[in-house]
Amino acid sequence: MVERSAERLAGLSNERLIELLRGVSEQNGDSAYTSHLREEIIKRNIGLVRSIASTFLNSGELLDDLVQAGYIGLLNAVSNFDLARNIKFSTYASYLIKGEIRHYIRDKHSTVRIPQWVQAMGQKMKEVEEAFFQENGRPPRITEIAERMELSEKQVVELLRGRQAMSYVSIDEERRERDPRPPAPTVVKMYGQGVNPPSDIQMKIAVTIEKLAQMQRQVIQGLFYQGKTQAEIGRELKISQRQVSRMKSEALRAVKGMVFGEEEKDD
Amino acid sequence: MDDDMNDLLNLIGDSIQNLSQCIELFDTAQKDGGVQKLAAVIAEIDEYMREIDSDPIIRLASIDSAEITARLKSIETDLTSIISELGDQEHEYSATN
Repeated sequence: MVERSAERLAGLSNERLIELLRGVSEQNGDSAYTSHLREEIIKRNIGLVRSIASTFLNSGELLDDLVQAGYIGLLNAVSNFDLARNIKFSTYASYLIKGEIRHYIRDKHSTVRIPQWVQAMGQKMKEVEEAFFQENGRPPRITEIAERMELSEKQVVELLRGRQAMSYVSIDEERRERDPRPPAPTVVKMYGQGVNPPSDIQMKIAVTIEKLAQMQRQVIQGLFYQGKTQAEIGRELKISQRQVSRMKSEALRAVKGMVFGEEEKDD
Repeated sequence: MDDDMNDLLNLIGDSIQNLSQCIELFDTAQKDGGVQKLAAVIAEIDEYMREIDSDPIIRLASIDSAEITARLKSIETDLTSIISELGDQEHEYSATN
């Protein structure tokens, strides 16, 4: 049956496949057929996962690892896609795939590298606060923390500010706080009632912009961070150091134009 | 290299700007304007690729021009498929109305 249905499935849209999958699952139907439908959806969206994962390569993570994280988003999309909404599956899946990849990267890289001594001071402050609370039944004041830690009040305030700044803030922190593997948001939650979701076309254009931006970073890196002197570059390119300098200045002006939205003017 | 020709950084900057405007145009249902922006990016990339070997930025940044050409071609393919998808949507729409 699975063999026979393969050709038929090939002509169906993602949305129709999900509809079939839901129908079979609700009736506790053929589990082999269910697996086959799921595999078909995943197989045809592998390209989407890889394409999105490749836009995160500048995170330093391996493409395969990013793709694995993206699969989780794809599976969530298959489970949570709301057929009643007028939105393409690929639009919804792209959102969840990106979300899972971002979450994976955030898990692997702390947003801010916290110096060891700051971590130690933070830990000590936490212990002082807890001990004070145990003894007095209320949180300590800044003067009381300062006294116990043998620091000035100003230093305590700075530490508290630092702790706040280094608290990890995630765009879906609230969601993840309650459950590290929460169900994916529904389309209704993503866009709200009556709001037009971004179309597939706009998302594809956004992916193209990201590709261009990656290329831009590569060029800028090549131009300014090779560690070669202008004389060395000039020798390699068989042009004068003066010409190298002028070309770099022009490139820098172009970059400034991109960043600030207008061409730098010559004096 | 032709004085009027964009170097790679200018090409990328212009393309990003055009594509961002394209998204805004689609947002406000100005499909024709959006398609024109997409076509303009493809034309600029085409023009650039014809003269890529004379772009000093490529040599200065020690970038492999073959790699850049491949990436630009892939971007062109993406944009061409977007235009053709838009054409298909229009066709589907007229067929159902």
